[in-house]
Amino acid sequence: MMKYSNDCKGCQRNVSVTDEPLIYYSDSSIEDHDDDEFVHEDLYSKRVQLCLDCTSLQYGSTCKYSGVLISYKAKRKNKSCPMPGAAKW
Amino acid sequence: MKQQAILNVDVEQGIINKNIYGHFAEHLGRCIYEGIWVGEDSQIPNTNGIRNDVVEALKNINIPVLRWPGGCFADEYHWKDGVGPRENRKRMVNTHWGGVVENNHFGTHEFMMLCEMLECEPYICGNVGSGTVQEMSEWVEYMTFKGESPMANWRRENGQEEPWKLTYFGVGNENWGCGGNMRPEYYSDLYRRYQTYVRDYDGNKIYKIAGGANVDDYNWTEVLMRESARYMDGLSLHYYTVPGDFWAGKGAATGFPEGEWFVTMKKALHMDTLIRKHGTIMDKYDPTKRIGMIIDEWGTWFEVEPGTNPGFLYQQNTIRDALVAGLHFHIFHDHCDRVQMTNIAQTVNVLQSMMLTEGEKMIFTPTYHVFEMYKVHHDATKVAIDMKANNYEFDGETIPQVSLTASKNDEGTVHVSICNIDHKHDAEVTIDIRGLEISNVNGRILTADKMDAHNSFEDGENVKPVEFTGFSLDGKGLDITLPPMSVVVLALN
Repeated sequence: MMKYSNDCKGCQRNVSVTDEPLIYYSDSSIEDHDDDEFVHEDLYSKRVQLCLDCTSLQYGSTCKYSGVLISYKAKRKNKSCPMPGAAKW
Repeated sequence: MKQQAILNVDVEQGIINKNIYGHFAEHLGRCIYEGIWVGEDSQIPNTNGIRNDVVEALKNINIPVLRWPGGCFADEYHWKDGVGPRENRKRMVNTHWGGVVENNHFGTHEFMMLCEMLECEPYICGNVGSGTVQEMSEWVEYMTFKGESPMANWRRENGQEEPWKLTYFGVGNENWGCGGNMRPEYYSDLYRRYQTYVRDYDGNKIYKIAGGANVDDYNWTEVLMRESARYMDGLSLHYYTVPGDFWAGKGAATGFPEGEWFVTMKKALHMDTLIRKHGTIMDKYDPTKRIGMIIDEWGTWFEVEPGTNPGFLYQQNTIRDALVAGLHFHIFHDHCDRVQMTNIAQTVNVLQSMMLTEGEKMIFTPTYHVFEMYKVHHDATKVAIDMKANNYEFDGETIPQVSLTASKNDEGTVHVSICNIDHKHDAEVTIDIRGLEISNVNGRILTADKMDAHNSFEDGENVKPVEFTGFSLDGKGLDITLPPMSVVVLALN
């Protein structure tokens, strides 16, 4: 017998976004550094700074064009800035 | 073992309301903002602020109806904040979805403009949880009153001379939860009160939809039907397909184990049980089936994609989602005498969406392709097709391997849609066709070789429909071989 939840989707607490520091949503995979997947620290820092200065940054953490946390996106080699017509990195 | 189906084209079983293929767009994550509304100054090609690519895509699936503004958001939405010059509109906090800032740039006028572009019916959900009777009443007056009145005059001042046609109006959303945490008895009384002032102006006839049950809360349906049936045209039901536990972990959209494929299919099939049981209660109070069952939230719900904002409910969409959609449509067709509308959650970038966007890029999900393939069933006549399917077994549990449905359109073409939900094995099906001489069959298939095959911004065409040739036609009918994890639509002439 399957059991079904009777909970409301908006009542989940884990959907809340706060204006915590950038790495609030930490990504444990970054700690297992893999050069094939992740950029080095200097490039990561440059990307993050561009994001922090971007008018499309939301809530201090999120790119409005992709919904991705900038700390996650900036670290990955295969990601790029999705700003339409004016990618910053 | 070959599975035998019988198609009786002469046995008609009702009209499949095209609104069964309806959609839902909430102010949540990047559904409305970025997914639909980018603003007139955006670099993304748009018409009056609405993305051209999204409009074109939704028109291509003949979107019949669009529900807005929520969802949970509806019960904290105050419509007056979203009309008038955009630069003057209130900025507010969307407390339901991440506490994000809502600038109200997409409001009533923008939504109605979107529906006009899409040539679809608007379905507006009003605020019972935190709104007043007056507020709801005035919203309807603002939208639909033609003559001289404070609200109609305000609408004209805001640029809309003629009233809009509005058919579908929901009186609250999930009032058992985010919409006020009410008991059914209390909500039922509120429903009676609020709907009294949702008036029909100038020939506009509103189809009033009462907030219904969550999943298997049959008592909610019992109370609403017993106390308020005569005041409603529709009663809603919400059910999401969540392979894991809603709170402890829903399961991933990609990279999931075999067992999660199976349990996802099993939970999708549960929709049939829910419709039957809620429908039985509705039959008790409404034996003529005047009141429609409106399943205005359904679809898969997984954990958000890694690295994405948890408040945005952004998930990938795979061939598994396509099968879930197909199974739901077959179930909805089976209950087309009661189910008059459904709205998958949600249109763009949220939960089981049609499209995903990233900046100016947009990709179609496998679910989109099922909606496109199945549009042949819109407003068609359901015809009888029956089979005893083989078992699809996993870890000691079994469910039917194959699900199918059939309908006949005005031109006499019969469309048969079939899903093989088995993740490993072909399904061989013979359809014995009665009541139709067929000379021509063509078909399309959506399938993949991996359980989590999906489209991405790097490869947007990994999963897409192609011509289907895995059938043979003889004097008696059709022999079909369906590959694992496949959705097929056949046209029989």
